[in-house]
Amino acid sequence: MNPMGRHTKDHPKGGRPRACALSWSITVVVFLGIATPAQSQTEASPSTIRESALPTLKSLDNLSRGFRFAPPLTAIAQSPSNPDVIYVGTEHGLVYTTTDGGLSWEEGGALVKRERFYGSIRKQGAGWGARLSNVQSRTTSYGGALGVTAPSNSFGGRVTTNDFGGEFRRFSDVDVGAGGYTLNHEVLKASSDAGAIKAQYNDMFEAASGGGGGSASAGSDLAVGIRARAPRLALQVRRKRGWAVGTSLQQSLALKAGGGTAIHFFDIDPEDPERVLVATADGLRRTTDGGYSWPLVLTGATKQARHVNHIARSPENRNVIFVGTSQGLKISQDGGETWQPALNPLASSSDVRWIEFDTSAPGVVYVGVTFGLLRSKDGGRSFKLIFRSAWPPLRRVRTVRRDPHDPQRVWLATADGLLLSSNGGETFERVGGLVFVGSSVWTLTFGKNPGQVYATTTRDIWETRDGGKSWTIAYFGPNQWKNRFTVKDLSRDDSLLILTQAEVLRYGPAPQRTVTLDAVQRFRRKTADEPALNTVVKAALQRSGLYIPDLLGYRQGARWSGLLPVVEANFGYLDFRGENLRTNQQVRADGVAEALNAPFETTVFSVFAYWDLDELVFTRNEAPITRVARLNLHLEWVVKSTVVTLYEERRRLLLESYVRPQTGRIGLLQALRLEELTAHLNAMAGDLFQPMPAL
Amino acid sequence: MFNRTGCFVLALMMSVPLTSALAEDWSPMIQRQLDALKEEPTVQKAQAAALSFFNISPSGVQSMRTRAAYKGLMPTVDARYRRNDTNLNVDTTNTVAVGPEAFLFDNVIGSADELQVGVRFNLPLLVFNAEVLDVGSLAVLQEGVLKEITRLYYTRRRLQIDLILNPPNDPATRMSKELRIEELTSTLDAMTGNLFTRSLKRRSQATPAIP
Repeated sequence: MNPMGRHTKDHPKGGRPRACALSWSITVVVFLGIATPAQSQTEASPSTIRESALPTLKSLDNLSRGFRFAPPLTAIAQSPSNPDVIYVGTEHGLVYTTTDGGLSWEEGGALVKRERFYGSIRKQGAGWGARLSNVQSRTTSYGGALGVTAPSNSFGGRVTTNDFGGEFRRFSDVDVGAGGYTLNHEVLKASSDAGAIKAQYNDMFEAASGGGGGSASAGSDLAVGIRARAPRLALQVRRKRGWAVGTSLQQSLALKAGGGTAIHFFDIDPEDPERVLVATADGLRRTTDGGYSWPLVLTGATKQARHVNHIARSPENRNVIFVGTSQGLKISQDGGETWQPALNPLASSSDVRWIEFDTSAPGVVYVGVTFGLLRSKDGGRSFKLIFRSAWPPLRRVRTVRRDPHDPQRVWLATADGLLLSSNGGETFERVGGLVFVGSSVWTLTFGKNPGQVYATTTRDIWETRDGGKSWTIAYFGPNQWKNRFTVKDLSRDDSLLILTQAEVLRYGPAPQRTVTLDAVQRFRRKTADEPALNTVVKAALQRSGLYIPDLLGYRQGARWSGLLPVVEANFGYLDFRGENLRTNQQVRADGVAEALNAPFETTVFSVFAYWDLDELVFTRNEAPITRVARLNLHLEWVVKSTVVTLYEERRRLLLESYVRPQTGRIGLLQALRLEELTAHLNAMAGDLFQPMPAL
Repeated sequence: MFNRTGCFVLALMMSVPLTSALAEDWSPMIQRQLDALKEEPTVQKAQAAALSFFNISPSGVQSMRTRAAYKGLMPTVDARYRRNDTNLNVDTTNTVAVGPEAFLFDNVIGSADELQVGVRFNLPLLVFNAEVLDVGSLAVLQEGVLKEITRLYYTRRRLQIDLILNPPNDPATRMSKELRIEELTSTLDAMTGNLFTRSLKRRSQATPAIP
């Protein structure tokens, strides 16, 4: 039982308790207060830090509206001048904006790399498609009876030396007996002989076309284009080929593998929420219209120079902007119009990850780099390396934060835990004990009380209320998504905005809400008539042909295919007209060759049946070890997770619409999102839900 | 199991209070603009058009799967015609005596017309054909297209509604939003075979121009 009186379950690997799981409901209480083993015996906080009261109940509000379709999310920022304006960026260059505190979101724009359109249609006959087309399934010998050099199932006569190991058959190896033709192949092996033999016998041989990759088929046409051009590419390819299944693949590839550029950080103008700088993997961009257009304002000669990691504005002059790239620090004195590299060679060549201005000491700037921490006391003219560790992960700084309640305290979040300096960066010590050792701390956020700090790791968020002496778990992350960023929620006291790979969550004191019984009953009545989640998942999988029991049933039948034969029936007719047809076999006893009567004609009919009885014992088709089986398992997972995501979000929104009904624009947008989710589910699962038109 | 028809009627009767926005009292001008949006192609139409455009509609995929299952009924047919004009006279000394002579000879003068027809039934395919399962890979294309078309449709619709309910005073912002709607419309057009442009053209033809 924890200090709040709630029962907890021990973590299987140690002393960490596990909080209750998140569900689709609006709020879930997730707070457990425990001291970490390393700090449980330590003294209380120093005199400068006030011991806070016991933690209050906190809740999570999910602000995601359709975000899960463009993961992973990578950056979040809230406008200081209007906290209802929030920007969220993704790994693939999409920017979402809200102007109503997260009730409705809008796709603001897509940032793509500056690159040429690289979609293409490959020439015919190239690649694996052509190679595979030359493979013959089976060679048969009856064709040789009539002097056929190609196998019967390839009467086109173009066979590859690969198929026959360089074998050619002679026309004259026909033994004409009393009962007709019998096989008497003389096989000339080694393709090097083929040329000479062909020259001698001229038209008596069918020459092979040589190895694979030749002329036969249309190769696999594959094209990948940038995202913005994908639909046009699809249209062009469709026009060219008139067949669209391949086009869909290209479309899918183009959409998923498009040239979106990862967004790393937003910097919103302190006075104008529509003016935003964004740090991306392909340069620094700026919008002045709330996210509709993002022209480049800083690029670089190399990939590292264009890789912008962080942006910081000087607290004294908002036109002074520092930008950290993977190839040094860049400084603008005019609000981002022009940029110069830092004068200090250490700062101008390092991989900069974070920049932190000291608001209490003008001119002091901390710069976190991949090998430690730099500090400038003269506004960025000179830098000094003030922290470096022999342990590489420990010196890989992710975040530097100066404590707003105590200017002497500087926090370092590294790839191997948390460090704290209590003397303005002169010396650093580990904090958090074993909690953070070996775990990457991504961001640090300060609470409203002195000593209250939140540390975001990949999985969880930890909170200290005594300046780092003891830590309690504040938020257990979901299994499927990692935490990416945490910022202080400027719209509410003691709240955080948590960005996971696929969600935006508001974490803070539980709001007092009145839920009427009538609303809950109406929600229950509504959902009682709707299909359950497993029904929808099953319907969607069956509709797409990926329902595992069906597939397994079909696979298990694969073994019995060995009972049925491959049947081949052939009919041949030969009409010979000429003067002579004499061979050695027609030599009489007196040594004179006897001519066979000519002309003559003959017919042959044959039926062959092949049974692959070994298939009855085992065939690889019955086990999910083939490419198709593996692919289907993956696809089943994709379809299932999409349906679950849609269903879950729809239920959550539906509950919100009953419990907290909205009116006006917000209500309409909420209804529109419900309509969207319902339409999407109906398209995947086959009209299981009643349409919910918003208009 | 969900009985579709019955539950549709039942659900229709019970779900009136769901969308509070429907009961909103908008000004007549706003209401008129919102009503105009209803004239546009529905999301179901857009989804169907996109799936059909990319040739991956559920019925099409099901048909492919069925055809793959019965593929084994049809034989592979090979036909070949060949004519040889020959004037061959070869005498070869053979170290091994064949009959009374120590040499072999071939003497063929004339022409041969040869016709062959062969059929091959791969009957095991009737029991199991991996291509039936392979068609399942189209599901992910379906899912991708559906996801993209639905997302684009509602991103555009949200922008349209925002423009109606919350019109920007700044002309530059307004133009920027209109441009974005236009961009989304053309993207939707490209994925649905000009569904939206055709619908707009039809509506403009149906509505007589005001002199």
